[in-house]
Amino acid sequence: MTASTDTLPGAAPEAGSALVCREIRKHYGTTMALDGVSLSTPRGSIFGFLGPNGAGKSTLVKILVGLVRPSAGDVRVLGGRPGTKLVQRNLGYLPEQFRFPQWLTGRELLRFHARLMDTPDEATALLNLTGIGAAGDRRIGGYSKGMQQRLGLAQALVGNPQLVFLDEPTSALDPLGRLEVRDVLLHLRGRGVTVFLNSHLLTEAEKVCDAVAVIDRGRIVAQGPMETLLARPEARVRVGMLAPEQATAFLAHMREKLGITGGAYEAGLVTAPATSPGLVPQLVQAAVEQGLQVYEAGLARRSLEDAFVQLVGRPRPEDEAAAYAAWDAGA
Amino acid sequence: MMAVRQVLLIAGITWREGIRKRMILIGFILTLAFVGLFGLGAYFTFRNWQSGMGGDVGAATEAVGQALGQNSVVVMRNLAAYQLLSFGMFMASFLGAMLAVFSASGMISGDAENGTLQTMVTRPVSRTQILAGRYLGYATVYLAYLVFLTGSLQLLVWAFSGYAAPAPVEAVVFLALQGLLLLGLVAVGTNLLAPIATGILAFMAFGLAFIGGVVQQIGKFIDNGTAEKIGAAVTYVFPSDHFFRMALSGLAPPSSGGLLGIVDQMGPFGTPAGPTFWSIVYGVAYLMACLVGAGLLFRRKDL
Repeated sequence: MTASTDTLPGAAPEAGSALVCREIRKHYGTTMALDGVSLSTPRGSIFGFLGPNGAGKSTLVKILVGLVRPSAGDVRVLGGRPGTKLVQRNLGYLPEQFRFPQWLTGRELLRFHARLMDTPDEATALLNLTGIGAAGDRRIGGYSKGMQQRLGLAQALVGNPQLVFLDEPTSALDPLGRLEVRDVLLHLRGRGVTVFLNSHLLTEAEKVCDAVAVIDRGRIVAQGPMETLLARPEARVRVGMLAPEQATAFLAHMREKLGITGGAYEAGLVTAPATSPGLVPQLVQAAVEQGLQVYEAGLARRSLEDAFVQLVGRPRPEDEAAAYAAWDAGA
Repeated sequence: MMAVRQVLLIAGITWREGIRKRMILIGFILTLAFVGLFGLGAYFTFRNWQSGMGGDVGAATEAVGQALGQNSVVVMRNLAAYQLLSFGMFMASFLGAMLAVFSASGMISGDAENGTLQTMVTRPVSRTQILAGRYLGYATVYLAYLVFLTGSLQLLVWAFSGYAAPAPVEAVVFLALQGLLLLGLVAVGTNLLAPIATGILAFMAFGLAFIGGVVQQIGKFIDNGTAEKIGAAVTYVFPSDHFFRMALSGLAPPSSGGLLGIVDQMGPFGTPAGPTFWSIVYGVAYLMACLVGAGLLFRRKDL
């Protein structure tokens, strides 16, 4: 039997979602790794699952692929329960701690997985796709870390899965390797495959993901289409360096004239929340009226990094300076 | 059918690992050396048995012949052959146990720790199949080793002494059951403990059961009920020794009775308190319980 691309039975209630979880909890002893996680992933999209280290990203992925049992909550993956054969037949998974038997060759590993999946052997195509075609007949023990990660990606694509979980798939890759992986992800989306991408590489996620969820300390703190998360653009006008009182006066003038609250001046740049695209010319006009030189103006979208820092950023520890001082003193 | 094929596929990977990592090659070469030395010992022991023996053995044979009025040359030869064979079987049991325990101690925990198990588990293969495949892989490596080793030892003793054990195949089967039981314990341990701890657990259990067996046999031999009961109780905690003693009794010459019968039963490999049918049933049930328990633990294990 080959992997089917048909919708699995039981998928009807969440037909548009490749996976749905509700109120997932997972504790290890007294440590709560996941504390009521609910999310859904649109079919055929690249879904970014973001969060700082230790936030619970890998734990959730392990629950979704059937490696870990949740302590509570309900999970549906491709309409079925994780870990069941029907679901596993349509999954691919690249673990964060990817490691494969060192004494197999890359090709043998892919063949082994194809036989476990009971699908035709596509080792050559997958090795070429992930850029390690020339090393396919060498033992994995001789691969570099990056090559092993590429092999891990190839392994995750064995059997034409409908849903691919990639846990930090580019952690061992150089910038060019990352670009290649991005191409693979976009190609997968083009084939209708849902990609669940665990990452803390925000610029990478921003470039490929259609939707994201952000997890922090075991809870989802934001979730939705990428545009929603990155909405709230800013008008930015570069006016050169201003004296503090000059800046204060200008911000007051700007708020009055444009009818807005907020806005800031820092290092030659005035920013204001852009309630409409027309705000930029108005801001330029206000600056000119105040006799300021305008060097540059435009509308900037909030970056994913900005959004992320705002969502999960924590104040740095108060005793940070003391810690550095102690270190420098050799204490 | 598909399910069986996947179990065999996973078992096959274990063999390939053994070959690629040269474990099988090294084990084979060293075992050949052991078999060679054993053969040399058997050759020198029995070289002159028929044509008049010198030294203490010759004197003892003569004395026994006079005391019993039997053809003591054959009786003594059989006794010596059995002593050599039982020692060889003990070594086979010990080496086989080492092989089984240390090759398989990471069956689950080792592969989970180094991350090679996770991708396999996310395939459309049940965890029961994975465990069955792993167990079958190690079990067949062990069985191949054991059949080669015990078969060689029996053939060598037979070739040089002319002594043919009464139940050679049964002896191998029971010794094999001992190894399979150890692997069963490893399968349970590897779900709960790190590879080294699993290895220590299984090997200590094996050693304890053997010593329990020795105490039981000595208790019986000197007719000390307490020692016999304590020893027997230990062998029921982990019944590997039941299989070992059963294997030995398949090799021993039919008891010559009287004085020689006592000599038969002496030493650490004697079986005066021979294993019973039920002790073997208990051992097999113990193995089944280990396998079922390991399967249940693995199904619930977070990886």
